[in-house]
Amino acid sequence: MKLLSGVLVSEVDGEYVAVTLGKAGKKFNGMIRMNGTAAFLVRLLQSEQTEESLVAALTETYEVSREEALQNVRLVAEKLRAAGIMEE
Amino acid sequence: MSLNVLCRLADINVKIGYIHPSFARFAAGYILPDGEKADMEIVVEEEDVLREREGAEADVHWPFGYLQTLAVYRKFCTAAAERGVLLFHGSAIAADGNAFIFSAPSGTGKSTHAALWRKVFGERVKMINDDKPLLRFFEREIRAYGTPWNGKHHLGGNFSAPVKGICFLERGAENSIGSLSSREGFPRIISQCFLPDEESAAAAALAMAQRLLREVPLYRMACNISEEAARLSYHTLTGGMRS
Repeated sequence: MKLLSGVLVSEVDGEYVAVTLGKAGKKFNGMIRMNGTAAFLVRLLQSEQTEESLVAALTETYEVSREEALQNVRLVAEKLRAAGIMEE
Repeated sequence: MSLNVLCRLADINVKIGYIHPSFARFAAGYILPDGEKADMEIVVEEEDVLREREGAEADVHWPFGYLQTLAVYRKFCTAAAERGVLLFHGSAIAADGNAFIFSAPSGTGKSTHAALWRKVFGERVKMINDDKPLLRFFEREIRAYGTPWNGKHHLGGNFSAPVKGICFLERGAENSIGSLSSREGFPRIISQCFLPDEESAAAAALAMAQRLLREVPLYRMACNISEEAARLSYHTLTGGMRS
């Protein structure tokens, strides 16, 4: 899975906002507010990832169990799909 | 036949190529005499103008000349992002030489509030741009500039002032005003910035938005339409100067 190109993540004082440009912007007009973990996943999703690769990256970077990581990955992926900014 | 004109926008000399002759009238007041040197050049083609129609409400017929002005602004803001130019949606007003920007969703009353400042404080305040001012980011300051794109009432002038405050307005029965942290202001600021479709220009725009959050005091105000509301925001934003 991968994000459409044109999703940029920006951060101020621990508040993350993803904005969509171009083709991605036409599908989802606006911005998505997210926490640090979600922003971490969104940045990775700018290149091709699998559920497995994202879980591995999360458990390496954050103090989370494999299960928590998997839950998190699925939740974020679902939200991004719902926003229509994932490549299918 | 393609036409062109040299304009000065946000202290940048830009040669603008366009199609419909109405642009020269629209940009009057920002046009430089022949012989001045251009810092950059943009050209708007018919397809750029027609693309503006896609984003507009389908049931309204927008004249070609109007859509052309949108296409020019989009192209300029995209090309000028790397020179530190950002389009910020809001009503920018100068008071005693400093710029303050009121921002709110359309229809909330930012223009009305800015008009109240003019009514109450008279000559001391001057409209920079009532709708889409340009901000320019210099090393030591951020300035708001008047432009021809100044809202349906065409309020504004060809001058600039350093930005000393941004105030997000919402309607309220009572008047109250408070500071916003940069974290709270972040989504609000981003939603009022024009983000170009090109990724490098958009990244530059986001970096400018971050500078706004770090360097400019932010406020949130609930207000009704009254002179009291204007006095409250004026005194808070200008730091309690006496009227």
